[in-house]
Amino acid sequence: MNGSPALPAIVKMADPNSLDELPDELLSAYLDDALSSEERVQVERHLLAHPEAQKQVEQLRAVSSLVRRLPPQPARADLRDAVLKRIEKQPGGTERIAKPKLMIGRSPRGWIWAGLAVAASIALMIYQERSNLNQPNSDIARRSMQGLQNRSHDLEWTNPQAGENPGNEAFDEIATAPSSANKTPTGNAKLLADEQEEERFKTYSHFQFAESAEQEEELFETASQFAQSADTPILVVHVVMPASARQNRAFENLLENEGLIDRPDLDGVRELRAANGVLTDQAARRQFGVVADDVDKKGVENQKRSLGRVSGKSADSAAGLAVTPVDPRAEGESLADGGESVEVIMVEAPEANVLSCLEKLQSDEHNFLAIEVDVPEGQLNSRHAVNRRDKTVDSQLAEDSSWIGLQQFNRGQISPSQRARQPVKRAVRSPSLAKAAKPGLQGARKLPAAQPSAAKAERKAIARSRLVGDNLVRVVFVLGTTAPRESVSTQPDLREESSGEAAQQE
Amino acid sequence: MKDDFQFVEAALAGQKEAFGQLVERYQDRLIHAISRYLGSVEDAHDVAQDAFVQAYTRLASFRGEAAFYTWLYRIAFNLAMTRVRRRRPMQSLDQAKDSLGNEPIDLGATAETGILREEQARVVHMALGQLDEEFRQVIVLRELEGCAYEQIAQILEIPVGTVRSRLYRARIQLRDLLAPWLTVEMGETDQQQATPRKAAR
Repeated sequence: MNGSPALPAIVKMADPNSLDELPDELLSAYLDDALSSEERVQVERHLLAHPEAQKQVEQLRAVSSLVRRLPPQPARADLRDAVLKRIEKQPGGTERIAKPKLMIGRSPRGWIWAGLAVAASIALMIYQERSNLNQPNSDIARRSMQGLQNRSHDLEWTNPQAGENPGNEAFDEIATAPSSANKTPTGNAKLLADEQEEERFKTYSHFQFAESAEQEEELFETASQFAQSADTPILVVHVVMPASARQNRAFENLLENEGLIDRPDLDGVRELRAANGVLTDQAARRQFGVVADDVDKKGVENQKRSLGRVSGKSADSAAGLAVTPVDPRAEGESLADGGESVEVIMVEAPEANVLSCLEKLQSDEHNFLAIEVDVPEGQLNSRHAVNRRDKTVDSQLAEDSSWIGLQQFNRGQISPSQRARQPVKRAVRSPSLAKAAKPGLQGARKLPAAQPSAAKAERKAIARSRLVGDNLVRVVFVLGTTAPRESVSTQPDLREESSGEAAQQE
Repeated sequence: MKDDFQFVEAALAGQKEAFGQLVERYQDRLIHAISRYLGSVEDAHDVAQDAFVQAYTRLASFRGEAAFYTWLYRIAFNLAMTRVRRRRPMQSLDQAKDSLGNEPIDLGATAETGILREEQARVVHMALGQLDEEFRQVIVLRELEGCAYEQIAQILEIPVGTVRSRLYRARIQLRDLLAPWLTVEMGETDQQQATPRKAAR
C-alpha cells in the first residue's frame, strides 16, 4: 500500500468481496489521481480486498517512476541559431503567413457539392477557353463538350502523335519551358508571371450546402467563383480516411500544420447557421473577418454572368461529369454513410504549400488510406508538379479508362486491403465524351516509365523548382470515410469528473 | 522576466530575437520529450527546428488561449507523429540501441550509481522505443510532459477514456519490458517513499 492515498474510514469497513470486478485501467488512473471520487472509492475497496491488485499498482508506480527519471536531454547549443537563421530566410516573417488567409468550407452533402464545384470549374474553364478562341457561344453544355473534345487534340503534350516529346519527356519539356505553357488555351502561363506575387494569398470562401433552391443557386455561384479562376489552377483531391481519423480531425490538423488553414470557430459556424438557416459565404466572411474583397472582382462579375445560366444539372452535363456521383456503396466501396460522411474543403494556397500538404497526405497512411489528385485537363502547371511524382507508381489506376480527362495521383505504398477499400472513381464521364477524348489521353497513359537520365533528372529538378513555388493553386479536398474500424482502444469515453475530494487527498 | 506573451508580441512586431528567447526557453524541454518519443536525438532536433519555425510563421494565430509551450508542443508533437508514421516500419531494437549508443546521455552523476543509472536510462529509453506508437505518445505526454489526461486527450484528439486505457496498456507493456529493473525500482521507492503522486493537473 505504499504511497497509496489514505483510505477513507468508510471504505475500510466496506465488504471488499462485493467489488471483484474492476477495470484494470482504473489502477493506472488511480496512480495519476485521475479518477472520479466514485471510481476512487471503488479502486480503494478493490485494493483492500486484492493484494495482487496492490502489487500491480506498485509495479505501475515503479514503471512510471523509471520513465520519469530518464535524464534530461538538452538541446544542442546551435538549435536556437539554426531556428533564427531559418526565420531570417522567411520572406515577410510571421505577418504575412499568419493572417487568416484561408478559410475552409465543408458540406454535409459534399459529393453533390464537390461534383458541382468540379463541374463548374471545368465548365467555366472550358467556357473561358472557348471564349478565348472566339468560338460562338451557344449553350454551355455543348461548348463544354466541344471544348473537351477539342482539347484532347489541342494539347500536344498529351498526344503521342504530336510529339517530338513523347512520354515523360513531354512533361519535362513543358515543365522546363515556360513558353510552352503559353500555348495552352487556358492561359495558365500567367502563373509564371511576376505580377501575381502580390496576389499570392487570396481569400477563400466558406461553403455550407444550401437548403433551398435559391440559396443553392447563390452558393453555387460562390463555389464556382472559388473553383474557377482565370489564373489559378484547380486540383480536386479525394482523400479517404478511417472514420476515427475523420473524427479526430486529422485532415484539418494536417492543413493547419501545413499553414493552409486557420481553423475557424466551428461552434460559431453552427450558431450562425442555426440563426440564419444557412451560412452564406458573405456571412462566413463577416463571421471570420476574412476580407471579402480579395477575390478578383472583375473575374467574379464575369463568372456571375456566365454562371447565371448554369444550373446544377446543366453544369453536370456541361462538364461531362456525373455530378451526382456514383454511390460508392453501389460500387462495392466501403464508404460509410454515403454523402453524409463526406466533406468538402476548399483552399487556395501557394503551390509549394499544396504539394507539401500532398506529400504529408501521402506519407501518413495511417490517417489517409487513399488519395487521388485529379487535375482537370488543361491545368498544366499543377498537373506536372503533381503527376511527376508518381507516374511510375501506379499504373493500375491508369488503366481505368473512365478517367479520361483527369489524371490521377495515387499513393504507391498502400496495402492491398487499403487498396481494396479505396474508391476507384468518383466521377463518370459520359460514354460519348469518353470516346471522343480517349485518343489524346491514352497516349499520356502509355508514357514509358524509363529510368531518368542525369540530364532528365536535372531538368526535373529545374522544373520542380520553377513550378513548385508561390503560384497559387485552388484545391477542392473531398473527404470520404471508410467504414469505422475497431481501434485498438475500444474503451468507451469515461467521463472525467473533477473531484475536489480526490485533489485534497494525499 | 518577460512572460511568453510579451515575447510573442515582440516577435510579431518584428523582433526576431524575441522569438529566439522563446526558443531558448523551451528548447530543452521540447527536445527531451520529443527525443524520447522519436527515440533519436537527431530526429528530435529536426522536428524541434521545424516546430519552432512553423510556430514562428503562425505566431499571429497564437492567441494566448493556451500556454505558449502547450501550443508549441502541439505543433512539435504533430510533426513528430508525422515523422514516425513516415518512417514505418518502426525502429528496430538494434537501431534504438545504435541511436542511443551514438548519442550518450550525459548523466552527470557519480561513478557507481552513475553507471547504474546510465544503464537504466538506456534500457528505459529502449523500452519506450519498443512500445506501440499510440502507447508511446501517451506515456511521453504523461510521464515526461506531465500533461493531465484532458490535455493529452486534446493533443492527441482522442477521448479521455481512451487516454486512460492507453496509459494503462502502455504501462503494462513497459512493466513487462522492464521487469528486471522493477524490483530495484520498487525497493528504492519503498525506501524513499515519496508522497503519493499529486493530482494529474
